[in-house]
Amino acid sequence: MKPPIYLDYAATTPMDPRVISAMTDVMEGYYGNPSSVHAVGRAAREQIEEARREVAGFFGAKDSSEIVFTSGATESNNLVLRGVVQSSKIKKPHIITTSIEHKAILETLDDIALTREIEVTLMQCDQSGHIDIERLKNEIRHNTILISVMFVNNETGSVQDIRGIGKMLEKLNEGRERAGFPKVLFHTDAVQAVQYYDCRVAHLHVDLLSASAHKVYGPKGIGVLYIKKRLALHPMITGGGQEFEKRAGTENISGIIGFAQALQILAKKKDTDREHVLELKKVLTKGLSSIKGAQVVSTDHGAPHIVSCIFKDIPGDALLVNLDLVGISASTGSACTSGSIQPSHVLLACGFPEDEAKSALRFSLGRWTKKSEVEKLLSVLPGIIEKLST
Amino acid sequence: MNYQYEHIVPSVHHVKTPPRVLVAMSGGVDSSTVAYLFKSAGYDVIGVFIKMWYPEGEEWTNTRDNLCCDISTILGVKQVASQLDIPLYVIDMAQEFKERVVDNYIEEYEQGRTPNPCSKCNKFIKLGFLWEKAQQYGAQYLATGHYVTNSNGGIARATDTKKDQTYFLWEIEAQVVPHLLFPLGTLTKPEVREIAKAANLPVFDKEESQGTCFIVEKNNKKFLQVYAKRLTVPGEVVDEKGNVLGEHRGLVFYTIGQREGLGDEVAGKYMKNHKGDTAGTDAPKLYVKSINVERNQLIVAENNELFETHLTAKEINILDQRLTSLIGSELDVQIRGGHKPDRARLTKLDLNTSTFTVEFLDSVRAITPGQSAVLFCDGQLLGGGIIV
Repeated sequence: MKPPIYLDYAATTPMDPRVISAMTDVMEGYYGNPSSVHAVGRAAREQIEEARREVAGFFGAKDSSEIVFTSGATESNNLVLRGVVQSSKIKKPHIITTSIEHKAILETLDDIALTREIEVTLMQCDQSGHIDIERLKNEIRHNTILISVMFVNNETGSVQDIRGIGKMLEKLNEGRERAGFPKVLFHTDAVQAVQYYDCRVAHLHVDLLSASAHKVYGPKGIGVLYIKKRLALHPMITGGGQEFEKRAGTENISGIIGFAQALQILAKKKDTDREHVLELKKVLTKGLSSIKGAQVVSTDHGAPHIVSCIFKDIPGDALLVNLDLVGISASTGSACTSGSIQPSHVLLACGFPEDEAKSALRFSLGRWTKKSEVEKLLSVLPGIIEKLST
Repeated sequence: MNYQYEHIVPSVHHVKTPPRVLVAMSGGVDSSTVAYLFKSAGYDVIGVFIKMWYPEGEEWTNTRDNLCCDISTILGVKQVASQLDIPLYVIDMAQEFKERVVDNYIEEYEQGRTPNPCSKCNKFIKLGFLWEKAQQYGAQYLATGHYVTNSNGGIARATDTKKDQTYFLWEIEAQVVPHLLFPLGTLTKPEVREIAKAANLPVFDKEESQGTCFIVEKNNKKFLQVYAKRLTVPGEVVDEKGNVLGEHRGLVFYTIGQREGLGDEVAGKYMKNHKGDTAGTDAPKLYVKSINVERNQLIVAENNELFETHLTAKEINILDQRLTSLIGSELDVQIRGGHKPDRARLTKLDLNTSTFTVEFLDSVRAITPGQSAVLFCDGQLLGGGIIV
């Protein structure tokens, strides 16, 4: 069988060969425990800290100690929510987030609420997937300690004005400090944004930022959390004091090196990558729009690599399976462990009716997607849809 | 490699475009073997795992592992599928299953009937929604590991009478039947395990799952205590004349035909009412004869009162058109799962009211409203109805 046509880069990306070789090099050459006193350990430590400086540079962190490596963005998001809540001295802290966040945010908040009293506000978005900053501002209460907003949505590609929110909050926090209210921290889950948007923390005016290597041609199992200096954040994982006492455990050296290498490549390729997928997005959007009953949800203002489309009255799972059986990989929403085919919770949250959300497919593009592959998809889709509409 | 199961699933290796078959896979030895047989016979096989509903909440937290739909089960199915090199898709039908099967189950109990959830599941989920999916996925056939046989364009009893599942298939849509494949109907369970073992399927010795899948701990009473609360209120135990004999703990704890749990007091009062002063004689054994939900009453009687010669069934479904011409003839009628059918005459079949009546040659014990009455002729499944 021919290799599949992979149109699911938002789920994960294939690894860049340069990342793989950087990782095997470090696995071969640096087996030491970075916390060991001896030369073997010191050499490993040097590798990690160099990678950390590289990552800090990519995100424009003032100091590399603001970069904490985790097992992935899910852990980073958990660390933000659990850490901020646990560090807060307020009796009943208030957190604002959005209804279109990843489950790593939404389900974690539910979990925290089982054992600690918290107030949560879920901001609704409009049908294009946008959160209104003024409305967000109005939701802030005296006990608000954290706002977490996803930069680029993984299912629709809608982009939030993170910088706008960040600047608004900065101003607001000045007033709160004078009035003796707690500072409202600002976190963004930037997993899908890292590839194509400016994610320097000073530009975005964020206090916390989550990212993951495997969405940017790096390995799975390694993520990062940027934590602004002096920000109090209680660790989830304890026992060893690694990662500036924010995340214990012997470091995943090869993962860290792979992540740094992936970001290094990305820094150089951001513009060409962007142009490449944007070109394909145009072809795909145009082609999809010409299919009867198809409604492209993703807009021109959305992320360049994500195209979400509703196929009226066609079950999304049937589309997904039929595409898979001819070797084309797409998805109906975010991937879940059991692999069961679920309608996108994001489309539901954006106000699309359930039957439309159940008829949606997400295509996501990347560095190695070929125009011919997009054309192949566009050539087989109408036939599948016709079969399914009868 | 030469194919050795021609007598079970005829090979389609010679066909240019082999037919596509959707196999419902649960992770057990039966459905895994079915997938293996079709794959080896040369079919274009797609595996599907259906996620059903299961009860959630604090009272069940330690029991999730007992259920068929947890993550480790899904991983097990995926392992079998990847060994067989077939694609496997997981479909979440929890909502449909809850609405069509579980809600009906609870409702039936609340009406004082004893439902047959597996029959509803086969009708709506396994051989209903799933056949819809099979068509959408481009399959011509849907195969399952049910112990029933494809016979004369219809369905007939399995060779392994202990495993036979025809009783639970009477309610499925007749038009789906030609698309269903049941390769295990002519095999015994040990033979199936043998095939699975020879094929190196890791599940060949897997323990059998039994009972209703959404009833955790196999504890139906506990389930109903949570989901059918109105049946947990104590009420009167009466005899057939309406004499009050005592108190029951809640109708949920009793099923028709059962004896235990009625207590000496009930038997004593019954004695006084029925036998006069009978000091010295043994109290008769009493059994649940029927349940009156409206009055929250349990009606008890002596064993011989539990035998009846007639039953009427409603909401009938006909799978073999011959049934309509068999009025007045003798048939085999099965009134509960796992039981041997009884001989009976079909005395009435009314399509307008969707009912039929049968008269048993020998009276039968504890005919239970809500259970299925399933009709057979020489092992061929003709149809059935719900006992009123």
